[in-house]
Amino acid sequence: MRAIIWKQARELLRWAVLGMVVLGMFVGVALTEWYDDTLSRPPVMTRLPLHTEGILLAFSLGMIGIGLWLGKLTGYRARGTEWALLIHRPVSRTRIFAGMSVAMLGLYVAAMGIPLAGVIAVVHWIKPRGPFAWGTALAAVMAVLVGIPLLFGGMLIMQRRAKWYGSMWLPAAFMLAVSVYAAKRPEFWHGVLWVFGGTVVLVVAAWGVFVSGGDEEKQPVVVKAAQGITLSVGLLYGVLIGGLMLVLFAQYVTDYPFMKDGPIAFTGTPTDYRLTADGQLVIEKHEVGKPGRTWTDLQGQALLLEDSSRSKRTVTMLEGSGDDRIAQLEDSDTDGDHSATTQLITSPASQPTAGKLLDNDAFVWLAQGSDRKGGYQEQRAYVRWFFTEGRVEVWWVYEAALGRVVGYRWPEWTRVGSIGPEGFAEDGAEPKSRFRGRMLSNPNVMGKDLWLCLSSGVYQLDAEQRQMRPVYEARPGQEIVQVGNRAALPHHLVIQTDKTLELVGREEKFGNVVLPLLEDQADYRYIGIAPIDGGRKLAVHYTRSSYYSDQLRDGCVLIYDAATGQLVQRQDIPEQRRGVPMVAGFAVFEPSFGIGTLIWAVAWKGCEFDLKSMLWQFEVLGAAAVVFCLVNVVVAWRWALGGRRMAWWGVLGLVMGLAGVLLLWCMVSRPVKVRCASCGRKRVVRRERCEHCAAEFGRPAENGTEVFA
Amino acid sequence: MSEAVIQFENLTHWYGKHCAVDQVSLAVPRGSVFALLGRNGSGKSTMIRALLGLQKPTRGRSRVFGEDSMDLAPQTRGRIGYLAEGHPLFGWMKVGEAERFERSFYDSWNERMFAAVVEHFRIGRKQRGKDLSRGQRAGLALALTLASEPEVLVLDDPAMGLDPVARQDFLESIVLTTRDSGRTVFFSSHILADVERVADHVAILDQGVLRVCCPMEVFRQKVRRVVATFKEGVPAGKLPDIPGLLYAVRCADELSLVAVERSGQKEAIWALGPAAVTEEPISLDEAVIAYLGEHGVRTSLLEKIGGGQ
Repeated sequence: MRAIIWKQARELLRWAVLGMVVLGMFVGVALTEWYDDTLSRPPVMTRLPLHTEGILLAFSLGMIGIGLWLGKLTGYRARGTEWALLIHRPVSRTRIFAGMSVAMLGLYVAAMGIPLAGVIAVVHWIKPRGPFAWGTALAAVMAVLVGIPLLFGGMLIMQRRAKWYGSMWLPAAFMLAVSVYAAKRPEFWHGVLWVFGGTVVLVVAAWGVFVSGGDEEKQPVVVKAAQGITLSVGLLYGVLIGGLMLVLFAQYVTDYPFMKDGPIAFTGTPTDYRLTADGQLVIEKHEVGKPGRTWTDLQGQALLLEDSSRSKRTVTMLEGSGDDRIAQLEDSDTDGDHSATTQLITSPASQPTAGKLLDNDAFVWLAQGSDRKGGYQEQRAYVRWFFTEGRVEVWWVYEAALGRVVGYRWPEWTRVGSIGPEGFAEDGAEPKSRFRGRMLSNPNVMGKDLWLCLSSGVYQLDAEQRQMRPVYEARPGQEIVQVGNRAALPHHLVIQTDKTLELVGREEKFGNVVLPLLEDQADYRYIGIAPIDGGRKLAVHYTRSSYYSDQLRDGCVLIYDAATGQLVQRQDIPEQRRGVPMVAGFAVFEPSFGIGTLIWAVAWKGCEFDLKSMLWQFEVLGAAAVVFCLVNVVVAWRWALGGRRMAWWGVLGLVMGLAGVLLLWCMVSRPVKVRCASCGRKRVVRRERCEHCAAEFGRPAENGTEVFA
Repeated sequence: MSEAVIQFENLTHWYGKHCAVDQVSLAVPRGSVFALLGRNGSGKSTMIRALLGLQKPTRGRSRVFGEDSMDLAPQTRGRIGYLAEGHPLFGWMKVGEAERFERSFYDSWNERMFAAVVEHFRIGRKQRGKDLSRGQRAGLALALTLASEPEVLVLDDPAMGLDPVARQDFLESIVLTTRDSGRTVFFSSHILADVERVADHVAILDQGVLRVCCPMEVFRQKVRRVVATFKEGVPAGKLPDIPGLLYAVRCADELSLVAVERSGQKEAIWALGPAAVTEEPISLDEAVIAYLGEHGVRTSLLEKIGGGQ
């Protein structure tokens, strides 16, 4: 195998070196930003060097270029006559494939790894500037790793005997999907697992194609399955995109109804809820095409409320008496726009007077789990910069690996010393302690330039005194999950621990409030806390929806007494039914996708289950699935694939729809048929006996000149 | 007959709608030099590729040393030397590198033979494969194939594209290295003079159908020319069926027939009413061309020209 490795390495070496040199040049250019002394602030504050766009772009492009090219070359040089020359030797084809792969992989890793090692050496040892975190190299390492599927994908594309030109590139969709998805995983090892899984599929497919010389019939089942997976992804993408385009076109020419709200249309309109300043949950309505909004309480009784998002609302009673009156509401926006609406107000006498609505800004929002977003690819997982005002001579940065706040003299980048829980230690002195706990990567705090939020405590930097002032420290056995201090609660810091929700007074005169967390709080992504009733009460809203809207859509609102922390009231937002999903339009090409979407929408997305409205969709999609199944069965029968294979392809047609039919055409060789001399029907030439009459093939006709001895 | 090293059993191969090889069965005895002849596209390379397991046949099978070609063990493959059509090499390799590369796969390597063949073709050790002439490429490919001392040598049209001198060198190398070695050589060619010099068995493929498979001597004996002389010109019109007839040429008073020896053949010729019938020996060239060319009655070019006057 060593000889094969040597041969393959020699063939690829110049290309790997060329790729490495080009990548090195890109990296060099990207690094110049890092050493730009003319900037008023060090560029490292926005991105550590291995996280700069330039470096990551260079490695991403390098990965695509070098990975695909080496894979393509390896595949290209192992087909046709060269394939025969390569494999006709006393070594198993698998060992030859392994040798080629080892050489290709080794050169790829070298071509990508050497520039990476170079850039690490420069920024860490040769010309260090500010902090360095080894973890930041993981993003570039992942960029190298996600190129591995491209190597084997490139090999597979070049070696597979594609039946039609476009299908040659189908595995590209799979390898790119694996690479992109792996690169997006917030956990490094999740990405590694994705790369590994995707690579295994591609290696099996490429290996099978190599050892069989691309002949589909000779490939073992596992190879066919791996190839099927790689092709299916491309076909599914193609069919879904093609189907969407077709439906868009249909909508354009025929006003097709299903695409108005995207590929999956919901017939229902969600109900919007709002919270009033005194803690009442109300329903907000906004009719399409009409300006202004109206509100009712949960029982449907109309309310006259003031939307705080509007600068002004004028209510003019027009007519009526008693319980029914007509009023004109005129809103004027902050940007000067006016809108007016006339509405029937029922029972005006019973309308509450405290009619002001809370908008999004009234809440301090805590996003649970937001620190997991981005994961290891985010700089904030490793360092935390402190921005002090005025002329800066020393930049302070919390380095998670050290657990200390380190000062760097600017622009010399010499270390001044570091701050720990015990105080400041000069550079060179042995630090006595370190901050414990993980950094909360995305605390929702104002003025966070000087804040350090850890799972063990919250601290503020005093740059002049060179110390970290503790604001809050977690109780033993507790861990801080999120921190917030927006304008809605200017004097308090909101701390969510794994057990409580606390309002910590920033000054002593503002007391602390400890609220219990909802038992099933883990089900909610966001927690919003708003002072209501003039600060006498606190409204806590648990929700699964995005918190960027003024409207509330789900979850519950708990009202607490701000002084005692006692629960006063709990208001649950009724579960929203989203109406019947409409997917039948474009999903006819992928019926199982459509049926799955319908089930998913009803079971998990709170869509209404209306058998009457959904049955016809199931009928259409079911009929489409059966049609695709039958197409595959008929084709497989006509191609004389045998009972078991016919059944398999039928199932694939049923499950994958049009993509399943295309997959059959992509993967299976269409057999040649000739007319049977015995029964006169067309028979497949690869079979020893006629599939209709079981006759053998007749011997070629003799012409009387045969000489055999 | 000695043991068969290579066997084809009903080998059939279709390329799309075209049947390239149609139920070919033949056996190559150990120690023979077996020539597979046929026109371009007659299925020779397909048979060789199927034999080496490089291509799965549509139907039937082939065996080497009794092993199915599609499941050849690496050790068995090591006993088979293969020289592909066009003498492919890894062009970037120097001759020395190519030798080191190839020898690393074999337990035994005949350095002396490699050196002799390379020297015979005047190839420098530092030359790269891509810089060699066609003849030298063929020589290097042959040297690399022979040096592993294979028991069976499979050559796919080895002399194709070589000039007469290179061809002579090439054939000499094959003859010298296989003589007295007990090695079996199975090769395809359409250069008949070369075949005549080296082959002791011959098979002829005519559009994928095997027409001839026998020792060379038998072939020579069986195929002959019969000349029928007529006093009043060759009878016009269609000739009656003559058993074993490959082709006949009318030329003035003579009817020249190339035919395989068959019973009733002479009677059929005498029935035409000739004044005399003579038999003449025929070269292999002519015999093979008779198989590969158009069968039936032809008019000689001379007669055509004469008729035009």
